[in-house]
Amino acid sequence: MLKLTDDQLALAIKLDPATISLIVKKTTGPLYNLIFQMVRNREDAEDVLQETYIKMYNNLSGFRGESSLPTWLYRVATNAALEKLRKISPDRGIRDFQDEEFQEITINDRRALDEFNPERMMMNEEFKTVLNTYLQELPEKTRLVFVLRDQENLSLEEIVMITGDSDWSVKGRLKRARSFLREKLAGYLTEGKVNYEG
Amino acid sequence: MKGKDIISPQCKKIVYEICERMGEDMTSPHCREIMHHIEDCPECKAYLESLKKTVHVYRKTREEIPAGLEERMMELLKHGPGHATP
Repeated sequence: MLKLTDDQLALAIKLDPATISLIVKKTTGPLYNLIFQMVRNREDAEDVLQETYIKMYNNLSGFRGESSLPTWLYRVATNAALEKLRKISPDRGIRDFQDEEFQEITINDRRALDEFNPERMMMNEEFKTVLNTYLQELPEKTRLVFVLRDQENLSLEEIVMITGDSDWSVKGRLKRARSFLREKLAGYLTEGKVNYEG
Repeated sequence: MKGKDIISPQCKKIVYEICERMGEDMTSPHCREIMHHIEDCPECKAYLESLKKTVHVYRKTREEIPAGLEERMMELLKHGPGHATP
């Protein structure tokens, strides 16, 4: 996402306005996508993004460079988004897949996905809504890992640093997320709810 | 090696991804075993391809930044967050 040279980082630590602007310019899109996919509300997402940048501003001088600045920002944003979710639904808690829940998923007819043309389907607004609905069905932490890996293209090592979860746990969540979404998508296409011509 | 040139570059890439997830090198015996199986298994090939398509469509569904968001964040930090209304 953003790689700072040592000189840029030194300037940032002194709260150089131009460097802060560069950081915001490079990180707003990726951070907003991550936060929005977690809280699913534009106003809440903007609040969380604002909180993330305020924390960055207040704590940048204490940034030790143990992780890259973007990784650190992702971690701040992740914690703030999970905290927002707890505030929105205090009784719900943060869900996770139960093993038995996951094992109920069945392998759908693969032909539907064989014939599926992703490029054409992405022109279909209804299809995009369906994709988002399925993404929201993932438990929060599973969704978080999927978004970081498959939308933001971060490495597993970075995701381990951001989430604070073990390597094993991150891999397991990613596997379950991909399989779950694949089954949902196959089911949707198999039921013939969409026009393949997009 | 049997089938070494049969598997498509795309499948090789997928196998590489699988092995990476498992924390193994693509040349490890486990990964070689997977690759050999996939060469002869249309079901596995199709399943891996469908997983790849699934990830591909989700890559394209990133949320767009609302108009003016970047500017609002710049403004927030311009004079320090003390001036903002969180």
